Parts: sequence; C-alpha cells; structure tokens
Amino acid sequence: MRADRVRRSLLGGLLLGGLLALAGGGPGARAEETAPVRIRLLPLWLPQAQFAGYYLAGEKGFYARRGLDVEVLRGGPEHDAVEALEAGKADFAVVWLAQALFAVDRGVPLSHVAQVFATSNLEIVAWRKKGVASIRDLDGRRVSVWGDSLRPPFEAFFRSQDVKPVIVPQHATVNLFLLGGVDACSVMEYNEYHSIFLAGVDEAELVRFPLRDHGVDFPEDGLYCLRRTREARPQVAKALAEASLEGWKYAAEHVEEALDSVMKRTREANLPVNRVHMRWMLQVVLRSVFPDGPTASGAKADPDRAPGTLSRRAYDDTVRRLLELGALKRAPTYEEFTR
Amino acid sequence: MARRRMRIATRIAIFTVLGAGAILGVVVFADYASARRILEDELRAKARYLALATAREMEVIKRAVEKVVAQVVVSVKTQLPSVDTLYVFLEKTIEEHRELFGSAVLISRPPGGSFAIPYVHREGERLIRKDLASGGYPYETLDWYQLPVELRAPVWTEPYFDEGGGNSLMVTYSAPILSDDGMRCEGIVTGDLGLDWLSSTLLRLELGDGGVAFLLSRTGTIVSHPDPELIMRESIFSIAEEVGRPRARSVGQAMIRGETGFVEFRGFRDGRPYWLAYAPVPGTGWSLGAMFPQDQIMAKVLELTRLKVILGGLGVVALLGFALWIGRSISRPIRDLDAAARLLAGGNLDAPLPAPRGAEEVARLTASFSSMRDELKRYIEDLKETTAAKARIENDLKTARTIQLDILPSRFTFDPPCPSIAIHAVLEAAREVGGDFYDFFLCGRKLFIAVGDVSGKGVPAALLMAISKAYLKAFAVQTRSPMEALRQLNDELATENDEGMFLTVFCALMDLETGECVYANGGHNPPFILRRSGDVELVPPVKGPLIGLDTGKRFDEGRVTLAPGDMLVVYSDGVVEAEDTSQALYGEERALAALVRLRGQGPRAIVDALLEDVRAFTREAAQSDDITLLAVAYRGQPGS
Repeated sequence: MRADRVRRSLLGGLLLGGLLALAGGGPGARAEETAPVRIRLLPLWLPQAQFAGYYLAGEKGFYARRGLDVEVLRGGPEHDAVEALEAGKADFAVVWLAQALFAVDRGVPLSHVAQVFATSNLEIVAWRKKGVASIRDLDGRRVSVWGDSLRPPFEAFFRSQDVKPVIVPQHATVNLFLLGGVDACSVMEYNEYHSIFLAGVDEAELVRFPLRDHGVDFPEDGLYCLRRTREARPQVAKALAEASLEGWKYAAEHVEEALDSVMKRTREANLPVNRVHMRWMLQVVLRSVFPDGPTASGAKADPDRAPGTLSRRAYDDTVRRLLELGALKRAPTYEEFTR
Repeated sequence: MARRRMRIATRIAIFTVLGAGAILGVVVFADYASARRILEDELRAKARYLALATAREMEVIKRAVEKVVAQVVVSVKTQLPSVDTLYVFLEKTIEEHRELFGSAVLISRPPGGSFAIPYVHREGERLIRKDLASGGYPYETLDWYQLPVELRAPVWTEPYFDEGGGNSLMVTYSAPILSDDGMRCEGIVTGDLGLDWLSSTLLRLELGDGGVAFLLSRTGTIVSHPDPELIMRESIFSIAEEVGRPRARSVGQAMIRGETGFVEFRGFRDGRPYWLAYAPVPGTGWSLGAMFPQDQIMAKVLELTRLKVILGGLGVVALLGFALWIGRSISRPIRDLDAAARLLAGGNLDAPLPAPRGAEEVARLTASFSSMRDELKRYIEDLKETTAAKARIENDLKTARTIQLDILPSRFTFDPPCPSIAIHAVLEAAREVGGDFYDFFLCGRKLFIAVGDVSGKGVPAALLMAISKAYLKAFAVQTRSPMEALRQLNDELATENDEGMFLTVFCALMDLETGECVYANGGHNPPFILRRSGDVELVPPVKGPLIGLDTGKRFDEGRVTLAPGDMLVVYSDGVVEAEDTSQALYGEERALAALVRLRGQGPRAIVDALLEDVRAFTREAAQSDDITLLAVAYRGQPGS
C-alpha cells in the first residue's frame, strides 16, 4: 500500500512537471532544448552541512532546470580549491573571500560569482577555568589557531583587539584544547564549537569571542571560477548562483530533508560525523546565508544585504584589514572583483 | 427502597472470591516487587563487576601498548638506529605483541641525515612497512604528532581513521622522545591499537542477559559498540542531544570524568530502559559501559508473575465453585426449612419438617423448629380445651346473669296499682354477674326497699347476693322491721361464712300513707333525699356494721319522713367510686350536683340521667364495679 502511494505521488510529480514544461516559457522549457552544461563544483572541505544548499540544488533539480548538470566533487584537505580551478580539475569552487583575495593577489584570475556566507563564523573559544574572561586575558596565552589562509582573520582580530597570544598551530582536531594543551583555540561556530559541546563540555565552561562581534566580519563561502570560464559562459555562472541559492532556500525550509542528503554523503565518504552535529552546522550556516532570514526577499531595501550578494561594505572592510596586516599587497576594487 | 437481598451461596462466593483475589493480588505484587528488587541488586553487582573487569582488561591491553612504546622510546633514544634497523625492530615488536596494530618512530634529527618516519602495521596476517614522511601523509597535522609535542608527555589520541597510514580506525599511544633536560622533543614513538580488534575483544566478553558493552573515548565518542553505525560517528553527547535527554549528557560527563556508577539509562537507538554500569579504564580517560535491557531482565520475573497470576486465577475460579457449593449446602436445608416454616405459618402444623442432618447449626435450628412445632401443637390443643371450657363457663354465666337479673324485680308498677309512689331501679353489672342487688315489694300498706352490695365480684358475689336477697325478703316480710331484718340476715350469713365474704345493705320500710320511712343501714352509703324544694340531703346515718362477718351484731334504726314530692335515691358505691381514665372518682359532690340539676323529674328520668352522668364522667374507662340505682318518689295519699 505504501509503495502504491509512493508510486502515485511520483506519477503526480511527473505529471505536474510535464504540465509545467508544456506551459513553456520557463527555464525548464529551455533546459530541454539544448544538452545540459556539465559543471564540476568543488566545495572547500569534506562533505558536510556547510554545502547542503549545493547538494539540494542538484537533488531537487534546480540546476537541471537551468540547463546545468552539476557534479559536486568531494572536497577535503588534500584538495585546494583554487589550485583545482587553476588546474582545470573543477569549473567552480567554494572559496572564502579572504582566500580568494590571496589568490587574486598571487595573480590567479579569479572571478567572484556569488557570496553565499555573508558573515564570519569564526570564534576564539577559551576555557573559563583557565582564568580567561575577556579578550584582554588572551594576551600571552597559548592559543591554537589554524594556519595558512585561515589564520589572517584571527590575526586581524588579535591586532584589532591589541592582544598578543602565543600562537600554537591548530590542525584537524580540537583535542589539544580539550586536553588542556592550550587555553583557547580557534573554532568555526558551526563546527568545532559544537564538537567541543559534543565532547561533554558545557557552554558555561567556555568563554566565546565571535570575531564578527568584534568588527572582524569577513564574508566566508563564496562561489568562484576562473575569469575565462565566466567570460566564456556568463549565463552559466549566473544560473549556477541562482540555482545554488534556491538550493539553500530549500534547505532552510526543509532542514530534515537537507540533513538526509548530507548524512547520505557523509556515509558515502565514510566520515565519522553524526546527524546532531550536521543539524547544528546547517542551522548556523543558514544564519550566515540568510542574515535576515530565508523569507526576506528583494523587498528588503538594502541590496547590499541581499542573499548571494557580496556586501560592498564587508568587501572593503575585509580588504582594508588584510592590507593592514600585510597579508595582501594589493587588492582589486569591488567592481573588478565581482565583474 | 427495598434492598435486593443476595442469596447466601452468592454472597459467600462473592466475598470469598473478592477476599482471596485481594490477597492473591497483594501477594503477587509483593512477590513481583521483591523479585524485581533482588534481580536489580544482583544485576547491579554483576554489571559493576563486569564493567570493572572489562575496564581492567582494557587497561591491561593499553598498559601493554604503553609498556612496549616506552621500551621502544628507551631503545631509540639510546641507540639512535638507522631506518632499516628500525623497520626490523618494529616488525619484531609488533609480532611479539598481538594487541599492537602498528607502530612508528619519528626522529627529528636522524643520524644519517635522511628524514623518514618508519611505520609498520598489520594487514591481515602480513606486516606492511611504510614511510609516513613521504607520500603526502600530513603527519604534522595529526594528533599523534602534535599532542605529544605540545604536551611534552605521552598521550592516547582520540580514535581516528588513519588515512594514508594504517588506513584503519585506531587509537594511538604516542610518546615523545624528550631531550635529557626534558625541554625539547627529539622524536616520537607511537603504538596503535586497532578499534576493530578492540571491539572484537570487547564483544567476546559474555555479558549475558542481552547486555551490551561499549567504550567511550575521553571526549565521549563511541569507540566500541556492537552497532558499527555508532562507532566514531556518534558520541554519548550527540545521542543525548539527538533524543533531547539532558540526563544522558550528565551521565556521559560522569563517565568521561572517570567516575563509576550504576544508573537507569535509555538505549542509544531504541530508547528502551536499560541499566547502565560504567567504570573508567584507568590512565586513559576512557570509560566502559555495560548496558542491560531492563525488560529482558524483567521478562523472567514477568513470566513468573504471569504464571502466578494465571495459577492464582484458576485457584480463585476453583474457590468460586467451592464457595458456591458450600453456600448451597448451607442454604439448601435452610431453604427446605423455610418452605416448611411457611407451611407451618400457614397453619399446617402437620407439614413434615426436613430431617435434621448432622449436628451443625442448621440441624439444630431444624430440631428447634420441630420442638417449637410440637409445643405449638400442644398449646393449640390446650387452647382448644380452655376455649371450650371458657365457652361453657361463659354460657353458664350468661344463664346466671339472666337468672340474677330475673331475681331482681323488673316491673316498676304494682298490682293493684299504688299511686302514692313511683319507683325505678337499675343495675349495671361490671361483669356478667354482679354482687349488687336491689329489691322492693309491698308489705300491706308499706313499701319495703333495699339496695345491697356484696364484697367482691363475679360468681361468688352473685351467689351471696342471691342468698342475701332471698333471706332479706324473707326476714323483712316476717319481721316488718328493717333493723331486725338486717340483724337476722347478719346472723344467718355470719354463721357459715368461712370465705369471710360480707355485704352492705340499706333497707327501708315506707309508710305509704304518712311517708314515714323506717330504715336500717349495714355499712352502705347513706342514700340521698331529693326534696320537692330542690334541696338534696343525706339520709341521717345510723349505726350498723358490715353484714356477714360476725354474729350477734346490733343495727340501729332511723326514721325520716318524705313529704309528697320528695324522692329517696339509694345507690351502691359503684356510683360514687366510678373512675375515669385518670382514676379520679365520680364522688358524692358530682352526684349531688346532678340531682340538683335533675330536680322535679320522675324516678325513671332521674335514675337514667344519673347513670348517664356517671357514664359521661368515666367515658372510656372500664367499669370497675357494679352500679345500682334505686329511686322512689313519694306522691302522698290521693286526696290528702
């Protein structure tokens, strides 16, 4: 009986789809005219809820409807997104704004397609029991911080707060922090912060310093491609951005379905993650994708804050702080960057 | 409202079954509770023991690894061997220690100059050599490298999948090779423990009762569990959050704090109630949990309880039948007796009673009924005889009454007529026969009147009255003197008076021409004279004793003259001593007042009215004494 119902609803779905297609004029109608454009999209990390919107855009046909056949590649520490773009291993990639700026500074011809995470999710978390109560207390303390391109936001933060902690390199886990090897560590709110909670540490035992609360609010995940890719097929980049945002909107409205999709991918990748953690991650990143909520549409007066848009103010602020740090030697203008 | 009465058998059955059922319920429940408690206690002890024993076993394994690593550290530090030597050395070490999955040695400044991290690990039965410093293995980012370097102490890593290294789930004991001053880290020696191997070791432990053993890392990650889906993916805290159970989180925190405990706990996936015993694996920060499903443990108790309930239920049903049977056997003779008693009550004293069986209460009741029936029969026989006798006596008394009334003059006219007087009298006996009498008759030109009252009542009094009246008339005719007649009557009666009975008599002889009355009184109430004027006076008293007690007594004689229109009213003490319901006496005063009211009327009217007045006074009260009234009115000689 249940199989019957499924079949019926499938049939209904197909009929509806067919009718919509017949109605014509929509993007679906165009999609059937030409062969779909194959696109390889590389997220900047292993499969997790951080990329739920792209998974759903594929699964719910938002890409297909725009004539795209998107393959979401498996990211991870062994894949550098910018290098993959340069090497032609991927057509589009999810990269942080700061990372993209470094790449452009190096001379990589990157083009910003869409800004997905409008805010920063980085935090410094400290043990309350080690006597840390304010940012000033971090001065001279052992603090583990990620290296490479993840470090500049924290450096900007320490610089703006005028504290000089002893930086210990931080890698894949926060175990050094959990074991008390450092007094504080860098976390992403959507990931490591919750991992610490899931290691049995209660919120009351910790002091949190979200970077965005202290003026260092670097936009993070964005969609990028090489400039030539964009110039060759500008419509494809636009369609990818639209469909991806539609996927994120769908994820916001169907959290459990999104989690099903995420968990399926983590299982396929044999990753030791659990649903609770992914749910937390999804809920946090959704706030970053839709700072005004997923239902807030273009009716919002400020186009600077529209989902998918890189805020000019945030861009200028990020560039300014990175230049001050010396992490960047030069930076393109907003228009050049987003062109 | 009439209450419906239950039959004895039903009542016995219901109360027995209710009572027995209640007792059964209490016993079964108490039994269940105590069995549950005993099982819980046993399980608590067992789970604690198992958790501790398993934790100890884990500790032995980990200690072995720690010992091996420590030995390698010492060897490496003292010898600083070449890479090839290290490979051979590691292979030998792993072969000797079956718990060891792999081992690596990192020397920061190797003597030969070429940096390598020789690593040997198992793959099935084979041992594989690998240089972790080549092939892009990101050793510097891994905990087994960073933790001992930063902490400058040996450390057990969290479980991890060693991609590019052992390519297996493992935990690694990683010890730094410290410089002599302890300030610099000159190298690292690791020893890996395969989680698969660890799990199979744990799973080998027979917990019994559906028990499940699991291992938590120091961050609460599930390291070992029969359900492979949980391993590494979930931590006790993620499960607590997933199902929204803050209690599970606090249990998890207690576990990773290295505490020992025994608590009720919900299953990781099924949410069923379990008992969880946990104990730390010393020196590792790990915690071992042994979970036992409560329902499986309780299944035995429940089954036993169910059996008891079923058996008890059958027992109660049997008891019900038995109680009904007993009730019937008690009530059957009672019902038989009841039927017989109804027949008896209906008057059929000859109806057969059920034969009394045995010596119990119902049999005794039947016997009592039987003897009661016999008594009743005899009583009724007696009653019949008595009733017959009484009827005879009553009949006799009726006849006697007729006779007695017949001996009193009932015609109040004379032949030839005697116009100078009018007379009327009445006697109301208190019983069938009475002791009062009155008499009047003419003796030449004189009228003799008498009213007597014999002591006592009934037949003896009636007999004496009859004799006395007869004698008095005889003596009066013979002596023509009231005084003399009373004297003779007294002597006559007192002579043979063994019974001590006596009577009072007033008698008078009235001269019809003059209206003069000569009278004598033997203890009787003095009569009234109702003068024509309306005055009422008493006949002046004369001396005279009660008659019939002693011989030789003297009686005085009195005289009083009635004028025409005067009336003499003689009465017995039944008039003035008549009692009403409150036992007040009618009395002379009332009689006098009545007579005053009745003045001017004839003897019949006066007698009837006075009698009516007495009756009106006594009303409902029973008449206690004979009442006699005699009134004679003197009208004088015609023409005088």
